[in-house]
Amino acid sequence: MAPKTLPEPLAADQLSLRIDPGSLGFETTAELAPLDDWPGQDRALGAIRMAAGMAHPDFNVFVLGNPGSGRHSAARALLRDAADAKPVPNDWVYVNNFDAPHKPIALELPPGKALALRDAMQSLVDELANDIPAIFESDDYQTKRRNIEQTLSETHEEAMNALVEKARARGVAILRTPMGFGVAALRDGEVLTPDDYDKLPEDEQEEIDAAVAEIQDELEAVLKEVPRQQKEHRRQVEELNAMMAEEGVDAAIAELRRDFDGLEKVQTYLRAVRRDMIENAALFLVREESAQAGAFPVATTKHYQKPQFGRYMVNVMVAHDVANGERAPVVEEDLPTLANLIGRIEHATENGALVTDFTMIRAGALQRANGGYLMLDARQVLAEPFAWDALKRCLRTGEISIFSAVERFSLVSTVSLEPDPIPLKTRVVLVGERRLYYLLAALDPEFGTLFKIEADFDDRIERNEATTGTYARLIAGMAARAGTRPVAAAAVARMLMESTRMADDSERLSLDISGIADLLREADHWAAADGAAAVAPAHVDRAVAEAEHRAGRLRALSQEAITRDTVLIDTDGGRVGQINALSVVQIGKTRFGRPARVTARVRVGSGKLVDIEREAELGGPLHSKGVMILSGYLATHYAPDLPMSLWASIVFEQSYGGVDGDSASAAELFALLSALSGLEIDQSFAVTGSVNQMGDVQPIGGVNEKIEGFFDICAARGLTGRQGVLIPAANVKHLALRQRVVDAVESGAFRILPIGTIGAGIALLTGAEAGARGAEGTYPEGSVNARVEARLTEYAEARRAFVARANSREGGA
Amino acid sequence: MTDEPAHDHPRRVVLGATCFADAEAALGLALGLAAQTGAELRGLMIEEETIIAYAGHRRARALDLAGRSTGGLSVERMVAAFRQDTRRLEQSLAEAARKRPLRWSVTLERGRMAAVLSGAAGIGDLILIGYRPARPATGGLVLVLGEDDGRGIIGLAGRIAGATEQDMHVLVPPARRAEIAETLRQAGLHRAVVESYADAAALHKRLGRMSPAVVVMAPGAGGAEAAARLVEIARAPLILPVPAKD
Repeated sequence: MAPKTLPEPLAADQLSLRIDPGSLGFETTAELAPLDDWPGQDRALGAIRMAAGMAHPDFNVFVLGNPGSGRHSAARALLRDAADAKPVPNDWVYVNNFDAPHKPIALELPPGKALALRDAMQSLVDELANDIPAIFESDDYQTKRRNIEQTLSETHEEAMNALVEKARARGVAILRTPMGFGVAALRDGEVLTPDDYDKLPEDEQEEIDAAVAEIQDELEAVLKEVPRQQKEHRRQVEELNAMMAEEGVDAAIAELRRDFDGLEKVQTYLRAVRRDMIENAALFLVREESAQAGAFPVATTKHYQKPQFGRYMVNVMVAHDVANGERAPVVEEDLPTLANLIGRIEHATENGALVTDFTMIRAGALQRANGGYLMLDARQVLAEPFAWDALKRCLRTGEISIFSAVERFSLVSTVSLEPDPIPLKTRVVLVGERRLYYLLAALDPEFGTLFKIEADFDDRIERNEATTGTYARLIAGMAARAGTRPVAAAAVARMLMESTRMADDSERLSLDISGIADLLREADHWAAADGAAAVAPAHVDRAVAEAEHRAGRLRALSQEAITRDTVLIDTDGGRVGQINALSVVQIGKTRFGRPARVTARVRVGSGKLVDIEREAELGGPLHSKGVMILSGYLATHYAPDLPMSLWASIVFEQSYGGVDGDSASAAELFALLSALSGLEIDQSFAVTGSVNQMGDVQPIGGVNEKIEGFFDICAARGLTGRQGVLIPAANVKHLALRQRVVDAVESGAFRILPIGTIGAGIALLTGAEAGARGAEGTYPEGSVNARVEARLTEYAEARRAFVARANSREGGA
Repeated sequence: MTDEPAHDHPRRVVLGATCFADAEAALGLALGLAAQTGAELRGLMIEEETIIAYAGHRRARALDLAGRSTGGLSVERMVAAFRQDTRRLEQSLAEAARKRPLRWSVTLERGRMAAVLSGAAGIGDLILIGYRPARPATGGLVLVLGEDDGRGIIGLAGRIAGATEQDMHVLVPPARRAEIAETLRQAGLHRAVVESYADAAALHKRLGRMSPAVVVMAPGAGGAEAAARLVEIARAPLILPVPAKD
């Protein structure tokens, strides 16, 4: 029986967007004001602006969206705007902690003052490197120094002279021997030998012994005084040096103190510098080996570069160039390693050991962005060891503490530093994919606390008159920035069409800004090849075709496999239990559709619906769900009073690579109904769509590629005029088909048929009415549903009879 | 006036001392003189007889520079100490020779210092008697002139004072004061201070209070015997050029 009503094929103008270039209101984009905005992103832009303007910490931002949506450029521009309205943050330096050199001191200075302090300290050192030697070479110092030494010498000389005189008077000499000083008795000016001594009377010997002992004791006393005198000498010299140095240092440092008046921490530091310079004035007296500078007299020398003065240097971490109008910083770190993010402490090798000091602390992105904004790519931060952890720690504590991965693991025990942490006042903006955002939100408990703002970039915008005009200005802006030819209105219309294709929706425009810009630049290339003055629709067509061609090797291979009958696909005739389903393959940038044969086999059983893909572990969960839904459909639509006595198997023939998704579940159900009803399915058709238990055909993705995949096979074999694709009615608005398909539909050589229910589809595929259950509870005779129900009833009866026979055999035995 | 042209180019610098400490204190000066003049440096450790005799006394003891007792003495221990100091002097000169061109030798000789020095040094040599002072030397270079010493010795002393950046004091017999002052002026030694001494006793008394860094003794002021005496009085190293001829 012929079906009573069938869905009508879609007209050609329903298959892709048609825009009249004349309706756009311009000839070329050269007439349009370029758009420097991001249309359709009010939600995301508002979020970024709010976070940028907020004073409270913790409201850091995660900018999420698809690549190419303009996340980076938008964030960068908005942050720059916000930064221009903020005051320039303070400068930061590290200076020596003279009392604890391993704990460098962080000093905060007004913007522009860090370099001034550094230069001033260098000048101070240079000045004192000249002044202090002059002080110590002055007649005043030399005289005072000589006085101290002469006093010491005179004291000793007088004591020694007196001793020598006394020794001579007592007939004793002081000898200098390899074993030290000796005191020997003299007789007639000569040392008394032991033999001559022994010959002397006892009283003389006693007298000699007493004299020797007396002189020896006094010599011992004089010699023992020497170290004490030397110590006193050193003390007096140090006191003199300190006094002389103090005058010089105070005079030189006075100007520095005035220049940094009002900055208490700097003044504290300068007091420490003063104290240290006085104590270590000898540093300024060190003379190097004279390496002459050549023919010219060396009038000035950068003394501050000498190693001994490193202790007085200023390590500038962050300096702002206020004089040149620098504003608050916007820093983008595109290699966010731990060190690049929080800074690092460098080491040098000295005598085989690693050494460091405060001058070897280096700023990272957080220090540079302090007081402003820091933009980071989320994936890069997560990929770098310890970087994410360090970033969170800094945001959580509000301080930047520098450490290395090596220290973290305590792999190397070496001299290192504990610099003062620098307070952190930076808004961090992470840019990343949606998947990363959701993973972090689900798995990292700190993420939501530290990144309270999400700026979600949309990937499409509703297409209407206003947005069409905005989009044209967007293209105008792209053309201006990229320096392409102006784009003709017709080419803009063509690009709008392509934009709907990219959005997979004729009622939406894609916000893949980067993709559109690439298309424009490629079209401009072809326009240049043509010597055209403006980009025309043909250049856009060429760009699209060339891109598809470049990426089309796998698609061509797939198609070739079918046209050469390596993969079996029928495109005419009829077969029971066999249908052309459609799938989409996505590999890298390549996305194409291709038909696949789905077959169904049935027999009596116990209600098992065998999904061979799932049994072979080639079917994903979504596919398995789709097949299970078929069981629910069958169970509720046919012989509801009888136990389901069906055994059925469904398979994607010649599919060996895995199947997922439920977009072929409608096709699978049609194959099953064909097998159960015994009615042939017209192989001129391919079907795509998912089905629910109610029998509604639901929309699917990739509808354009799927249609084109089947069309290209049919076209390669020669269109018969019968061929077409059944698609879910809800997918009509997503159509953005290539011109070749549109042309074939227009000429009647191909059809696109929208279906909303299984009933409509089965009628088209079998040529028989689906059938609706009547008031008496039966389907119309000869209808598809009646045949299916009859078959299932037959299976139920057969199963009941089998069970009865089995039971009777058992009972008889 | 004594003819003294050999001071500019002595054949040898003979560094003599009765212990390594004294030799070491004058080593820098000896090396400087040898380098300046191209002379050979001969180290001479003098095993002074009076010291050996002293060591034989049963109550003999020694004190180090800090006044601490170094234990009982014996001739054997003293002889061993002289040998050890000789080896130390050899090591020091060998080390110095590694760093610069130097012809050198070291010997140990027993005798009286003055006699050993006189025997060891020849015509045209410079004798340098080492001494290690216990206090800073603030008195600069002191040149002791006799009745007939001339420009040569003044030139030598001036060069040493210049090389060691020392002030120069000149002690002369009263009759020669004006003459020497003029000689110094002509030699460009304007900052040298000239003083006169009446006799040996006055010289000794003055020298004993000057704390010189080094004494240069002109041959006319006495020979090795007098030089050894001045070393003890000045408590400083002493340079004595051996004249070319009497």
